[in-house]
Amino acid sequence: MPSHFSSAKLNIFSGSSVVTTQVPQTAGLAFAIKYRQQTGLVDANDTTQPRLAITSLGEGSTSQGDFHEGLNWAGVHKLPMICLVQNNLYAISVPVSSEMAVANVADRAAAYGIAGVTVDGNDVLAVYDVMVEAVERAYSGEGATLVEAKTYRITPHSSDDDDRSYRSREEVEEWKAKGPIVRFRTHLESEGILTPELLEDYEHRARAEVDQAQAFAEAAADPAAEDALGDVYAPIEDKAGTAQ
Amino acid sequence: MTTTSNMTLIDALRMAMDEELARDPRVFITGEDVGARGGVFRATQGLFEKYGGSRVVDAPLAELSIVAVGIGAALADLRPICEIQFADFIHPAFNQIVNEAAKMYYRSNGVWRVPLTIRAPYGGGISGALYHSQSVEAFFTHVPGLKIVIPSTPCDAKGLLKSAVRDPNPVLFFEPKKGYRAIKGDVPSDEYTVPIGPARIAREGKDLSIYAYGMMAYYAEIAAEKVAREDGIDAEVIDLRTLLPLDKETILNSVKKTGKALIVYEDNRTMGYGAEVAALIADEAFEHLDGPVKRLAGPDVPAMPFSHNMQEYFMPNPDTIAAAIRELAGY
Repeated sequence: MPSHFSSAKLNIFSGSSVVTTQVPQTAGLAFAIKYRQQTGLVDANDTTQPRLAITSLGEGSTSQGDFHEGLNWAGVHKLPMICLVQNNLYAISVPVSSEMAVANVADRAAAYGIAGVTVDGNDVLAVYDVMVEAVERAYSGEGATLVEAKTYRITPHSSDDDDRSYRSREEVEEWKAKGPIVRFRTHLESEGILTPELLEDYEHRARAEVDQAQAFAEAAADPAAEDALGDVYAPIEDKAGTAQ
Repeated sequence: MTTTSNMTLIDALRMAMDEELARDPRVFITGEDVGARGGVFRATQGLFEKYGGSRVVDAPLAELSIVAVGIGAALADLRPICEIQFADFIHPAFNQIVNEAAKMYYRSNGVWRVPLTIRAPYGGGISGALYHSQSVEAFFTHVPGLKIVIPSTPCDAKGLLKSAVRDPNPVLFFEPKKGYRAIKGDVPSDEYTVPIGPARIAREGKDLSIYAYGMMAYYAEIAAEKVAREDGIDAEVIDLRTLLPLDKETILNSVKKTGKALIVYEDNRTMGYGAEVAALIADEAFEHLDGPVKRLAGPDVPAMPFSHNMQEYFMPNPDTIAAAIRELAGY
């Protein structure tokens, strides 16, 4: 369903609108990975099997108890998990100074006995390096990582949100100039990697892909009204209900 | 088929978990004190020694995460059995159960299943006071996507728990803790399951129908025998067993035969489970009724008190059920 999309093929699970519920669930996914390895259901070196679980969230939702309980499990069981927090300085309108007393979300990792790393979230290559380390940590059995990428939300929270009521235009403009896309593009151009032709080609292809998706969505038929009654219970004869 | 006679309800539950752990390597148990301690009621006693700490996993004292980790593991196609030590402590996990486990299959258009079993002892009568006596089933029976099971016999406890573990949906399995050792019965040692859904006609009768579950179903049978002996009243006892989805057919067939319905539950009366059964009967069996649909339930106070007198006053028992039967039979 919209906003709760998922892909079984890509192992992308359905997200909720209730913030942070996915953090302890991700600990459960990581627990299942470790469980299968420990009980011999899979070979720990089998790279065709999932080897870590990752979730992302905003800094606002790190105030929820789910965040604490999920990372506590990750720490206790040394789970192959990455918790990626995008600290964009606002929970809708509430500034980070009213959300937490610690300087960095990643500081909280110490409380769970897991690695905590703060990185400039607008620096694409720095984020990449930190994430590679976190992946290696998970693969090598060294446990979970709490990654905090410091960034900024350059748009209002939603189409209904008027962010002029809680932050200045100057602040927004300043962060727009430091945005990760602009910054990485400048970097690639200065290195001579991204030429004007290549950039035009990328932008054209990106636009075409989005246009195509929009056209596909608009052309799709609405579901039947009575489809509202569907998919309440998985059928019992489903293979999920039987032994392996 | 060999049968163990006089087995307690809790021994039957342990047997079910033992068999499921042996049958399917994806099955694991987690919860507070389920490991070396074997659970505070000893429901998992011996399983840690037999299957090891990887499969019988002591959890941090945090119910939200016990359920949420179970959801994640179930999404990854394991078969978690999560124990909530007392149903009274399930509330921190309410959001994970109601917003996540119950809605996952629906919100993903049938892509992601949550084959999760949550066990929790519920109900009063053990001097557990306010926070070790609660009946919480009505909160969850309002939530489509969940299955709610409450056994009242050792045979059903084993068969229904095995069905819960194998079910591809989240199942809340509430166990009448007062009956853990008080209720005994024959339990087949061999492989069998009891399907989730159908109610059980615990006693056939023609004068009136009693609807109950858990400890109240056990008491209702005793009360029915008492009024049969003392008053010649022939009551039918329906042990609902599965509260969601509800076996409407068995409920309606019984009241259509007897014309009178008494619903017994130990939860607070108002907005309790009996209201739904009463509404169903009023809606679909109205012309068969020969008396008012009656409810015998706990009083509308915030929780069960500690004092023995007050506790006994709170809970329906075979005597108060027998009195309610006599009153309705005489209508």
